Amino acid sequence: MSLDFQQVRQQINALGELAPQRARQLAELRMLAAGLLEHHAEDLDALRQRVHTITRLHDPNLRCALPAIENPEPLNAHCPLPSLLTQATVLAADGSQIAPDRHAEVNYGLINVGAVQMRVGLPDPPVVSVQSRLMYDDDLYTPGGTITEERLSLMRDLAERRRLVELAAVFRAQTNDRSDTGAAAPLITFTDGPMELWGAKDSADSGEFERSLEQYHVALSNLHDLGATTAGYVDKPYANLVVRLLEVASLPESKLAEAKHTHPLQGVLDRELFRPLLALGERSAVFALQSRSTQRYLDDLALHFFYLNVGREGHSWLARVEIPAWVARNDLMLDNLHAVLVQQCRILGNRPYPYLLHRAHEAAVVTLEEKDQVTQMIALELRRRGVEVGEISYKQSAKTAGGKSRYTRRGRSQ
Amino acid sequence: MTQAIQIGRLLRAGTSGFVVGCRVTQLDSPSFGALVKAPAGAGYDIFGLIYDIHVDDDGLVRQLVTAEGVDESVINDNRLNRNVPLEMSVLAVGYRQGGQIYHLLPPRPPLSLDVILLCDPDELRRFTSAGRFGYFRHVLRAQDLPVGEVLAAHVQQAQRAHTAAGDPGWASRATQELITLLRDDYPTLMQVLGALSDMAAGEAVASGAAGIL
Amino acid sequence: MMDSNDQSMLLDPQSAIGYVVGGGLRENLRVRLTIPAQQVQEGGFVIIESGDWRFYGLVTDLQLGATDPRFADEQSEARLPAELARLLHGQTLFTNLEVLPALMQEVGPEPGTPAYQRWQEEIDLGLRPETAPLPVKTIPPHHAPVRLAGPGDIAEIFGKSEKTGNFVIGYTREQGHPVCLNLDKFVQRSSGIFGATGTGKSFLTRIILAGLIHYNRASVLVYDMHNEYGFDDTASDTGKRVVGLHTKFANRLRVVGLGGGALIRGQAPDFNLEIARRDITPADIEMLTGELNLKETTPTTLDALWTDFGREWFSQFEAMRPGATIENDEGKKVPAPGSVAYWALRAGVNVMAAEGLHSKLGRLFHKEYIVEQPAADGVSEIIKALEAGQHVVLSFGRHEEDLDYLLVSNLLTRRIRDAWEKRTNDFRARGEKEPRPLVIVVEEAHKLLNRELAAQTTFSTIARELRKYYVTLLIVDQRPSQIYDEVMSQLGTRVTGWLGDEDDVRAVLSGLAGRDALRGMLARLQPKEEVLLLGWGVPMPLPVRSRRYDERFWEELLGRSGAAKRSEKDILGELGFGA
Repeated sequence: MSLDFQQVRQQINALGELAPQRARQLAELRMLAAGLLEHHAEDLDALRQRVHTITRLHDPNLRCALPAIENPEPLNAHCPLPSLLTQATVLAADGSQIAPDRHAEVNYGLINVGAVQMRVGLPDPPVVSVQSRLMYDDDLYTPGGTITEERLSLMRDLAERRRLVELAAVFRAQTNDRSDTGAAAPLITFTDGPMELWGAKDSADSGEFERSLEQYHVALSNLHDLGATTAGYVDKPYANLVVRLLEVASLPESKLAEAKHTHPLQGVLDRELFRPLLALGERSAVFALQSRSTQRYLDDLALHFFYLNVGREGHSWLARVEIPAWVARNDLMLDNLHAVLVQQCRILGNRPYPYLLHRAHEAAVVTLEEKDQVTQMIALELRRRGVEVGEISYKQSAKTAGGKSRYTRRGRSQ
Repeated sequence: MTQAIQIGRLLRAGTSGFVVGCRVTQLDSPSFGALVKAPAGAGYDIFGLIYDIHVDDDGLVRQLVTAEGVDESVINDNRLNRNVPLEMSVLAVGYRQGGQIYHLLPPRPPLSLDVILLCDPDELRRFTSAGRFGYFRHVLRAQDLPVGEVLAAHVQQAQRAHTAAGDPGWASRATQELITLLRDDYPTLMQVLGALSDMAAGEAVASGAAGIL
Repeated sequence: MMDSNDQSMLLDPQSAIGYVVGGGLRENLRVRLTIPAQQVQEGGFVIIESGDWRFYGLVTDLQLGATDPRFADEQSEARLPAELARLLHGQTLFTNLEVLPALMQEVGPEPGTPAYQRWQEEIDLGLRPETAPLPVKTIPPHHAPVRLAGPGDIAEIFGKSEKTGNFVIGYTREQGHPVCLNLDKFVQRSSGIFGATGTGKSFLTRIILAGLIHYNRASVLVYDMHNEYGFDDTASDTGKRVVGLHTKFANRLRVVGLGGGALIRGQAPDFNLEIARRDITPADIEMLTGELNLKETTPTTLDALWTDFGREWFSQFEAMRPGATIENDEGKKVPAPGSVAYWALRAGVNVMAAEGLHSKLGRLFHKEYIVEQPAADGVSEIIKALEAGQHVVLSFGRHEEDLDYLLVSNLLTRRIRDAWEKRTNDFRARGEKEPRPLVIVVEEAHKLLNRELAAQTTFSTIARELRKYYVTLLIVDQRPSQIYDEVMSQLGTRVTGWLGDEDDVRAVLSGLAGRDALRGMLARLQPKEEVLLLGWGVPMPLPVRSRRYDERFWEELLGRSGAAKRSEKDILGELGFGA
């Protein structure tokens, strides 16, 4: 059944009516936010104080940016692009998943992690690797029942980070490169998305989550021990962490209790705030991340982030980069990360995104055909062993029965 | 040693040919005019000539070219690591069944393909010398194909195989047959001969001798 | 490129030069050539094999063709490498021959096969006729192989040169194989030797006469208007000595001179011919109407003369004195007795006509070879010699006018033909000796055999009678268009050199099949070198390189010592072999 365009059209009209006014409002709010940023730029201690007060007394779930404790920078800091590295090795990993499909003939899951490793400054092509893990039988179940998409994503995230650890370990074992200062050669690793491991926390699977989180922490620690830089790259960030900080900072003392419900700058995004501030290649100040969930990330693992303008001439483009504490407080690591990310994004020209992440994603992706092929392969194996294989659900078969295209040599595609 | 080209997907197939999408690293990519073999059942192979190789639009490459200058490592990455998605159009020219080669259209199109094989010189020689060039008909009858170029590329490859096996007169006989078949079609004939002479000239330069033909 | 003559000499006669692609009986066959065009010439004699049959034909045209005109227009050898251009041209550009099919012969199945055995047996048993070349009535199928004729094929058609009666007249143009005329057939009908002035007709005539005389089955009488044939002569262009027939055949050839005491080329002939006045008949005079410019009244006058004087009419008429008058009793001038007028009045003939006739006949009256009483009966002598198997050359000496030629040759021929007619009747009715065949050689035949004189000369009678009375003509002429076409069409063998005039060409080809094809061939003959053999007397038309009339010719004909060739049997006998 198709859309009732009549209904939709009416609602779009209503939307349109309000749009210009809304736009003007937002523009004003942005200006306001910018002003606030300037105003509070140096008040780092006061800001920290305010946030602590609110989380302790009024809203423990407050989620916002926090001036870093070590090497704090003014809110409106903008740091230029450091010079390009030599001798750095870059590692990126990305994953994809196939969720178990109860409509298909056979039930299975797949996690595919692609990783790409490259040496900066050398003409050698990157080394690409793929790891595929099939999940079946018990793998498909958790105490809560059949594995969910979220759980699968979590497992994937974990797999990505662990893959980085593997490769980093191998790299360290194989090379004895030393930088000029005698330190181990720079090793920069990153994945796509925030570093925080997402997962359901208050369901039957919370036990699973806890275990996974532990494993994740172990992986991060390993990276730290290996002297590697690690980060999470968020393209087109939707966060308003710094804006929230400004909101709570501008609250009068009397209104602190209502902090949870007071969002005067609602609709303003961080990237809009920093966009006029950061020139091409510049990063913002490094912020700590205040949130309930990130309480779990302690000490070296404590989560921080900064904004980075990876755009090109005439087109700014802001990304948010999440980093653990050990990177945040290490100027060298931070600068290396900064330089590498900008360089990587420049490779892709007018759609800036780290090249190696793109490649890792490509390596990880499982096409529909490939998925079908794996399904067929499993079905074949089962039948070979005399095991009955299910039928696809009629719901599914109705979906997949589509048009045909005929082979003729005349046209390329019909 | 047959070179197995992995097939990604069979896009379309019929008795007169088929289109194949495959991912082949650029080093192994098959060449225009090459004879390929598609095993399509017990003892049943379909032979075809590649008449079009089409590289699909690659979004990543499009991005890379918009940047200022491409790093050599990135170039090498694309050349060596990334599987170029090829779409190959293959014209059916014959089949083998029960050990016997026929230059007729295959009775059944391929239904599901795992692998397409590039014929090695020996197989190329056997196919091209079975019968009297009957398979040229299929090429000449085809439309929307660069007939002259396909034939020239094919003749060049087959000639090399035959010369290596001690029969340097094959190309001459093949040309003779083509002239006979195209006697009444002046434009196509001259186009084909033009392509063949360009090929011969190229071979002459390459071999340093006064023409192999 | 190799000299085409060399190349053709090397061509294996058995190897195919092409194959039939089309055409038919009426329009000639078309043959696709598979060898370079320069190796075949117009006039080439070709053989087409087809199963049990073999076809013999003549190449009458060569045409360039292309499967598509663009292949011919574009110089692809400039655009394509040499090898490709060669392959391309081999298939798209071709040369077609037009072949005039003339004869066909059943040659039976493949020799050596059982089928061949049976076929041969049938012939031996008489169930199947012996195979011989026939006029072509059907055609070979598509793709029948075509090859050039070899010496064996030519011998098959034209006869083996070793066999007596076969006389080598020339050689094939491409490969120089000997081509024979069958002399028996040649004399069975009147024949002709044609060619424009200066194309060597007289040499050709000498050659054929030598052959006939040597063969000796017929007698030859030559009206030698220009004294060329009897004694040795000098060639007008080279200045070389040309051997006379008398020199070589002294014991059987008589040279007769016209007029008493005449010398032929400074030599005395065997005897001289004088014409008796009483031998001249009015018909002989009427034949000279054109030459003497006689009036219509002549026949009447002659008739009256004959009535009055019979055989003496000529003498009597000559004796009359034109314009003689006397005075009569009244003193008037009246024709004197013994004058033309006197007789005319008496005979009731118009005086003016009679006087006119008398004055015109003056030319004859003064001829020194027309006498009252010849020293010998020359005509009978000639006839006797011919009947005895000898050959006669009548040289006209210094009497080279057309008038002499017309009068003497016609008169003589009349007498001879009458003699032969009598002999023939005696032979047929009473079983007496068969008359010896006679060939009368007539030069400048158009003077004697043109339309105007057709009814009046004996020659046309002879020509039309075929060989009823064992007499045939051999016409030698350069203006065949002037010859009465009824006579032309009766000619059996025609040997013709180059002719320039369209009418002459048409005349020579009259009555023959395949005229159009042969016309071009005729026009392209090499003057003095080549002749075309045509007509009923030859199995099929063929251009040949004519034989040279030189020492070698005489050696070949007569043997080194000048005597007749010894037979193989004789030679073997001398060497001690054979029975």
